[in-house]
Amino acid sequence: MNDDDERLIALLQDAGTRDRAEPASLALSARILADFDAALARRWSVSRLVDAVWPGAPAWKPAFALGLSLVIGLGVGALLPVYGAPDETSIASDASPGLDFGGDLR
Amino acid sequence: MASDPDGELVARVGAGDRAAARLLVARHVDKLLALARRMLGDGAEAEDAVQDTFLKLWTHAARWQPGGAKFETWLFRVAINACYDRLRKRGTVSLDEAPESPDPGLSPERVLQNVELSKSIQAALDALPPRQRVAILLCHYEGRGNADAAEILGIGVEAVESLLSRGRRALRASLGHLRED
Repeated sequence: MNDDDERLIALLQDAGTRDRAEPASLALSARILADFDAALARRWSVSRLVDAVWPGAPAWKPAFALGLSLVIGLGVGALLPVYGAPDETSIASDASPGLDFGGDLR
Repeated sequence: MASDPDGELVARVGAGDRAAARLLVARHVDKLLALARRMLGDGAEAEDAVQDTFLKLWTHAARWQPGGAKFETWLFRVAINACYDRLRKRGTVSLDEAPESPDPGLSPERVLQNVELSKSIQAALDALPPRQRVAILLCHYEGRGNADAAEILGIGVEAVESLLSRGRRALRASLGHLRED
């Protein structure tokens, strides 16, 4: 590093020291802390919901249980029409016979 | 490895401690804002970038793993990425606006000199490619070591040295007129 570099670095360091001496506005700090409050409120509402569903459990457990039940539900939903489809044979056998008992007996 | 001076505060923030959040803001906001101002050359945009940085902290603090990267390194990385995002959105780089930070304790002549100097430095920094600019800011303006800057930027120390060398050469050319002062 030569003298020019050293002068340049000193210039930048000086600028940095001056810039950092200017404190952030109170408004900025207030905005940042308001974000903290909002994030905390969001986190608490989620954890309250989790606690209501499964008291004391970590968040992943109810999420896993919900995911698993969705998979099972979708699986059953996909298979159910196959096993529960109306049987055409039984419908045919249930059809009313076209017999005229009165006529044959006479 | 030395213990992270912010580790305990981050853990408290993760547990929802507002006083710890206020302390972390007080400890880091000025440094982050000064860096963001020099990165973006715009005070209002720099404030938004710093606010985004802390918002990311508030949402990640509960998952913070002590023993990994130093907290301040992570925080600077987030701030620099927030600045990069803004530079990308902007598309072009502003050359004519620079933050002014007059010190009320200085004489009007000295204040004017500082403002002019600050503008010259900002214009020269703005003309640098973002990666050279951030390397120069971290090492020469923030006073961080090359290894620390390399960790923040997620690159090797040699790459940082190369960025610094090219950045210094460009700045020397831009700020050559200040050499006479």
